[in-house]
Amino acid sequence: MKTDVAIVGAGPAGLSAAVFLAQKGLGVTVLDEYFIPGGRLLGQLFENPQKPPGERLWIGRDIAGKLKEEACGSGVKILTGTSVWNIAPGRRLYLSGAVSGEMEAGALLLATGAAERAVPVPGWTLPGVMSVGAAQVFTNLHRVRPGKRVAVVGIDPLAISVAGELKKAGVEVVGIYLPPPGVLTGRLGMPPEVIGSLSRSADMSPGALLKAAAGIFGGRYRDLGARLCGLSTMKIWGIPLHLRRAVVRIEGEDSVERIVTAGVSHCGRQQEECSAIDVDAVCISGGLYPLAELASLAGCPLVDVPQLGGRVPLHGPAMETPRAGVFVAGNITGIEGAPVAMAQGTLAGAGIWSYLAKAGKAGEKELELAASRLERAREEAPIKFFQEAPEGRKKISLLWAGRKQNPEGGVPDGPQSYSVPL
Amino acid sequence: MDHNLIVCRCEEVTLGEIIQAVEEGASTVSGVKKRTRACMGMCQGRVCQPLIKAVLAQKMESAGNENEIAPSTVRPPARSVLLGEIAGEN
Repeated sequence: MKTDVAIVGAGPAGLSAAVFLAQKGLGVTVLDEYFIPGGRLLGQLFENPQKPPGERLWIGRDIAGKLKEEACGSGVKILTGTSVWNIAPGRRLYLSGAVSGEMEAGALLLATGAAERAVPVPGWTLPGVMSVGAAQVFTNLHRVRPGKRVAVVGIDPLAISVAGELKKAGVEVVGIYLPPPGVLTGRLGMPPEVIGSLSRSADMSPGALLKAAAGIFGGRYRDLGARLCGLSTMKIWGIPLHLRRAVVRIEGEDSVERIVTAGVSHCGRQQEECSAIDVDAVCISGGLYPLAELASLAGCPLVDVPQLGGRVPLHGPAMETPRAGVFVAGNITGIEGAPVAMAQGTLAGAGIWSYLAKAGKAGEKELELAASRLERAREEAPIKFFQEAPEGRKKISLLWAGRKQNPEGGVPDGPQSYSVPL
Repeated sequence: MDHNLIVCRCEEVTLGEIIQAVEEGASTVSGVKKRTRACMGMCQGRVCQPLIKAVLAQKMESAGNENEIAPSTVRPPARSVLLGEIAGEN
């Protein structure tokens, strides 16, 4: 098989790039291992109170559907149920699943998104325990309740938003708890860290969570952190948010039957256990990290940027990597929301078009336009997953610039990974 | 934390086994992987690798931060694939 452009990942970034490139007349093939295109969009359903009335509801499934229609209408070929298991030099992709064999691409866009960070809780292998991402897909895509009585483990904006979505779907959410303190959970289990990061996202993003918090605190977010520190429990949409209580065990014979919780001290030490609470499902949240394994296989150098959620492929202003014809977009470059991923996809599309069609001045113009739209999408983002993300992106662009100026002593072009003292 | 807690779900490797591997000298994710089979199952470490890094960061004196621990080498196949597909029998 041959294609002008192969795009791995049919999420918001991949589909947006596909639409742009197909409208420029290029042959585009999008590959995705899920059976429906849309990626993380499929599970998203929330309200953005910053938008004018009538535009507040974000129904990811519908947005994914529209993007797919637009892509297919422009002649994009979408292969679902198909995984890429290797990438060899010359942008040769190896496929398995619904379509198998090899595919050679003139340019390659890696838009593989992110994976959920696991948070082990004793008993987490019982049927009925799932990640919040899985709970979202159950509830918002398939319209199936993950359980009748559910506990949420992990306190972050995504977990709180999913708890609200579950409640709206008619699930009884018994509470949102900390994960068990210990080596595997680290900062996620420390009350001051959790409260700190929650209140930082509150400052920047008065979303639904913060509206609820504002109701409690009289409309002021500024000292939310300080106020939360004095509290052990607050309620959001009637769901108890336990800032000082962790789920330390999940119990059941053949599936989830109950959780056991314990108090957590200010410094993250586990205190006395409390009586068990009956539940039939548990949803665990540990945040997201960029999924960059295919970039590694393609020979792209990866850079450690904790401010963006993990290791990301080094890339330039047109989303290009040091590997000729290999581009990246979306959460593989750092954890951000879907509107940002869409803008990044279009920018990568402009980059690929410039590269393949030698578009010259016209290409530069498209790149400029796409870059300014990306900037606007970032300014308007309702949820900022990592507050220090701008700093992280600055690191990447400095590294990229340094590499250009000093190809000898700068960043190696090979697949080796390295971390840079910045 | 309970040492019987399963960390690598694919290969059913416990926290205790990972800690033991580090105490026996494993200093990288690859070292833990070779001793315990963690990261070698269906998901290829997408679930447990960050957790193994967290254990290494805490147990190793030199490494203070889990981001500084080198990840295991990525090799094909990155996803599960049928032998027939590799052999080109479609």
